[in-house]
Amino acid sequence: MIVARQILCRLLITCLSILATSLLLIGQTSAQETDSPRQSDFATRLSPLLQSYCYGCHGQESPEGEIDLSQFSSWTDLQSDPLLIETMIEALEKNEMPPAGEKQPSQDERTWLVGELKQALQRSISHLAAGTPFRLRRMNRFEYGNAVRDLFALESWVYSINDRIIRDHNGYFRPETGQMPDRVVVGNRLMGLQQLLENRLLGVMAFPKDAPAENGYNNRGDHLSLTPVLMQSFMELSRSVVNAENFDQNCGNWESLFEDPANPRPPAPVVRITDESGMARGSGVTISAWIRPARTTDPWQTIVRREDSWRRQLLAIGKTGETWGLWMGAGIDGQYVEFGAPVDREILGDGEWHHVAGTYDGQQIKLYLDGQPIGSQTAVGQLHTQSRRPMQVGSYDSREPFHGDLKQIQLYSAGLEEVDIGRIARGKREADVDHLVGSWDPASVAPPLVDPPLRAIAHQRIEQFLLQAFRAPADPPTLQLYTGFFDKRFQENGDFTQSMKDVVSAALASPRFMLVHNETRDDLPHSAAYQLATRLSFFLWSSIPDRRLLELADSGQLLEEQALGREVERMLNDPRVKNFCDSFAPQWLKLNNLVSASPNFEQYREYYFGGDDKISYKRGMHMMLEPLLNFETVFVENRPILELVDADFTYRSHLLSEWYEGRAATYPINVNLRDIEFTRTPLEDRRYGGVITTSAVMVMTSNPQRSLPITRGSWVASVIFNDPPEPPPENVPDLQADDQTLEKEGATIREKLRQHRANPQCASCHQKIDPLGFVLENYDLLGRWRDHYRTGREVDASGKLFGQHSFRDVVEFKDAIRAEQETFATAFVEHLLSYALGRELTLADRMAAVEIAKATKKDDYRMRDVLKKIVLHPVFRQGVTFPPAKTTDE
Amino acid sequence: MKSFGRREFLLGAGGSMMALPWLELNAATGRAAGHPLRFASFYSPMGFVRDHFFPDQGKRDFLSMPTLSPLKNVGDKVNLITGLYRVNVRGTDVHNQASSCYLSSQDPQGQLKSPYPMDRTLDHLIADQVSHRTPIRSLELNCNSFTDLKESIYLDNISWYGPEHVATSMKDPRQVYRRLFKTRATDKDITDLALEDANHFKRNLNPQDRHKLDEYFESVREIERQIDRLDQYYRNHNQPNLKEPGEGPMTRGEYIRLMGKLLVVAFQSNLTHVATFMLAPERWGSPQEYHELNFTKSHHGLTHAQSDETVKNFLVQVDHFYVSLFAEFLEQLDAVQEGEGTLLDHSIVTLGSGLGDGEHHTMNELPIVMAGSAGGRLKTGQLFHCAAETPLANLWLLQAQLMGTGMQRFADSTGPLDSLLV
Repeated sequence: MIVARQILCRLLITCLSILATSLLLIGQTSAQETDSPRQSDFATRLSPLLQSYCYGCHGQESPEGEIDLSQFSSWTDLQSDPLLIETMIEALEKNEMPPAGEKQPSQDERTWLVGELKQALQRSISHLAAGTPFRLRRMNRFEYGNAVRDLFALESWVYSINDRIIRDHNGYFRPETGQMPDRVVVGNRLMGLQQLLENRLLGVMAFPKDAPAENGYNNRGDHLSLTPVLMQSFMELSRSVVNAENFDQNCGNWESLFEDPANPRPPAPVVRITDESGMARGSGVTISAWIRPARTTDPWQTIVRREDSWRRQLLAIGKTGETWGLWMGAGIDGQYVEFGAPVDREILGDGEWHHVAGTYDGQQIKLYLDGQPIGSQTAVGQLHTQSRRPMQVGSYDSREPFHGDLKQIQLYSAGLEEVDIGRIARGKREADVDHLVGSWDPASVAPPLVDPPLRAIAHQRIEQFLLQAFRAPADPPTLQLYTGFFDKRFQENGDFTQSMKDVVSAALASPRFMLVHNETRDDLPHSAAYQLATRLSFFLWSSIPDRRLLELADSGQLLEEQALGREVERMLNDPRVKNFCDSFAPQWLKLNNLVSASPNFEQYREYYFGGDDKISYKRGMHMMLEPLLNFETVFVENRPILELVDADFTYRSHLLSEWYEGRAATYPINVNLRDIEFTRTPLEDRRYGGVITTSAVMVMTSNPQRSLPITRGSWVASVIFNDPPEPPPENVPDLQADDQTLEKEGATIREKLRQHRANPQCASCHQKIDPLGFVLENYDLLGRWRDHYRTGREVDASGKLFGQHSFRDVVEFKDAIRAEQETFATAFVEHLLSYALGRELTLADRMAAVEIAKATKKDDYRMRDVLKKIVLHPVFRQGVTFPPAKTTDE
Repeated sequence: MKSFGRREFLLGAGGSMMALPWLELNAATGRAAGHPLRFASFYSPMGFVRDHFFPDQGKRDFLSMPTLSPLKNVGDKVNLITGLYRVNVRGTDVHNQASSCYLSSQDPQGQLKSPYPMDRTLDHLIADQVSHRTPIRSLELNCNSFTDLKESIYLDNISWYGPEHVATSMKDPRQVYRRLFKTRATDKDITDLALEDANHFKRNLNPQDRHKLDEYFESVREIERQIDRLDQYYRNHNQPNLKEPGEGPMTRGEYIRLMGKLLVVAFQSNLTHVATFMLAPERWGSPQEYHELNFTKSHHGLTHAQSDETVKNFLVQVDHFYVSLFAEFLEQLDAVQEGEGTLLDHSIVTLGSGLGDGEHHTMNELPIVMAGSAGGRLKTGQLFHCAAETPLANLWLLQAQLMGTGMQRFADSTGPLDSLLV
């Protein structure tokens, strides 16, 4: 760490000089440093301590790690090297220095030193308070896909990529409810040919996945460069997206963007959803319709149908089995449930209008004809309400068409009572307005209206489009570029839609779209608000801001503390926040390591579902989802982040529970990896719960033959304490700790390492990481508990955290983390902050992380509170200072 | 739309270059006996098992070494160069440095501009000088077949435009094929418009970001240039008789062989003269399937346990495998007649690693094999043992000079390694 910091220091100096020359220090220039009163206690108190405990190694003669503390003679002196002060604080706080075996300062002395050094650190960086500006970078592959999807309200994905691990198949992820359901149906990443089956834009090729930064994330400014090879992909994407053969049907804002106003495509017979979030929130559904069938055929006739695998919802008439009648279907608890009630064909075929309805209230499906109940079936469970697919009227994709007339179709987000259905059947236009979320009527289809000239319409649409694509209003010359281009194309080919697509292609090829930028606009009163909106949406949604964020930017409200706080809440409740979980959590946990983990096939047959170790799916596919669901639960339920480490619940699949209980099959089994059911399991056994002790982490920190305590320790140091060990020095001798050697020597791996640690070059680092790894030795390479090694030797998991908190086993280790919860919280905030800012944290950023952690301490560092505090902290707001709160604020 | 003036913008002062037929044989540097020189640098990660690669002291018959024996068919056109070293900047990961700084022009002792001593790499410094001759500036090929993209960008790239600015490599043979052989009809109006907008946009950025935005302009300029030149090229040349690679699975060997074949054709057709080729990424913590060798092992894992004889046996096979594929590439170059000589004669092709010894992470005694005589200017078929403390940069400087860059210094070079010169 020490040498690494030295290099960082060299980097920082370069950065600082860039900063200084480009005059980017925004905001208040801080108070002048005053140093003199402290001079005396440097000489009288600090120097003697350093002399007693530090100069031995860090003095003038061949200073260890090239750190010579004896060169400083005043606080001002020392403050010229803030990175060094930070290193000193950390070494003291974690009892890394002075090293074990050397003379140690008393606890009082240590506390005094840390306190004084922290103040010195504050003073030394106060002039940096305005923070580092965000760097211009391109979108990464994940963000680009999300941005395009949001920009065109696509019903499909843009391309099929593996970046998103956990797939929600029963609509479990509902952050607005603050509650994760007990039962979730999820899939792991789509593999191979499955990807081709995913609903995506045809012929659109993604660019390669972006590499994560070391101990960091794949949204880092210094990694996301543009190169000719990538630019080729971006240029091709800008055209292939809008020209994909299935783009038109998947484009959710077709009418307001591409459709030729003079020649609209025939209105799609779909139920117009007027309250999408209301529908998503609902726990029940009612479909109500007036029908006048011309024929009463056996084959089904669709009244309405939303086709989306098991999530489909429908109301239809026709025959299945022996029943001719009215049918309702819905996705409940991850399954499609269908129920039909018999109806006399002659009644429906009498040429009169009849009212039909189906309701589901979480308990029962009930069917009604002309206001009278005609049948019901119990189906207790949770209704799927999140489908974004259209609810089609009178057929679905031209199949099972309705013969006759339909009118006044209504969709409610609750199962209505019989009395309400009766009212509608008696002619009342609607019942329960609060739950009415969508409707369709033949009369509601408006005739085309082409009053303003086509060009004016196009120009206005372009202006609206550019606002969202570029995340700020286009200034007149920019707008003129694009509208002029439309005019040119339209004049050439007279094709409104294609001309519009060409304009959109050009916009997608513009750096304003493909780069995440911090554009300063003198012509906008609230330029900073637009910048903030972009930062926010890329942080929490991995995508571009939506209309509302842009409206709040336009009015400047986003710059007010309360309004900003409310917006963060809204964003954390929005389904798009799943992107944050999908992107941040696996990277934080380094879960991609599990993909390639391959325990020895002959010995650990049970890890593989199939009959070989090459193409077979592995248990890891299930394991990977467990820590992710832990993370999502802590997020959705706003739980203390300590529950990421020590939780009294987990989510497990049947196969995973079997695994932990040691009952896994050692022969090939067929598995369904698309819809895996995970259920919430209360845990009393604290050996489990939290991410660290999941089998996912244990497997990926092992090699094919054995667990790797150093790899595990390094994982814990990096992920849990954000303190990755220094890279090992050159010339590390091999440990010679393969199974055969250990067996031959009858040694444990700990004993082997003890020999290795005798080398002082290795000792200081291993003193730090070894206890963090050995504490997990009770989990074998597959994550299953063991008390003994196969050699018969007992596992010794004991150690000390930060040289301070002794533990005998992993449960006591979790207690030790609880005792050091502030350290853990700060480390976690640092991870989040590095992700939020898209950069390797600077010293000032790390100081901000400490403040953010402190500010959330009193409520036990709850996840959403932490995220909110990050956004509200100056380090994220960056130059945006809140105006004094107005008392008249709403 | 003419008023955009994109041409002026794109080409600037160098615009006149466009008018030159780039294949015209003039008396410029970087060519020999009328034939342009090709430059390719192959990278193999984590060194080679030393006692199978380097002959014992005093012995010169390197082709009898087990790992190098596959080179014997072109043995008289190959040199083994021993004793070169690179400075390892301490305190940063040695594997990251081994690959990302292998071809770097940054002096490791100098002031760092990034976490590692990275800068514009040799291939790009050469391309800066010679790319006007070819439709495609350079190729960065990479046979990393891992699907878990879990490791850092530094381990996966030896070619860099500059610090923190990676030259994105191509791993998909189909992408390489399309880049070489398909000219695309592009919509120039759209590119024009995007560029015009980019110019507006630039004014609203701070200086640091403005600098970063240059990547956008450079990239667009480069692909535009490439498209124009490919169009022009295929007006006068036939498409090579090579089928577009399919999507089917390939063995490790088939994959590398196919990428090699594409590079041979690119050199032969003068589509480009500069390339880098990563046989595999540096330290990737995942097991690699070696279909031809019938085992799946982590290359990195093997290197660290090579003191065990069984493990070493696996590792030696991996080394032999990669050298064989490299030898096949050289043989293909040598099979192409070009005037009096062969394509290999008109090339400088290097195979090397950024680590001397994968077990101990050393950066001295780097394994370097160099093939081709640069048009008769280099001795071949010999073992060159360099004096202690000869920086690798000296070899790179020599190559840069042979390729016609006129450079006098490269990174920490002390002078070109001209003992190789005839």
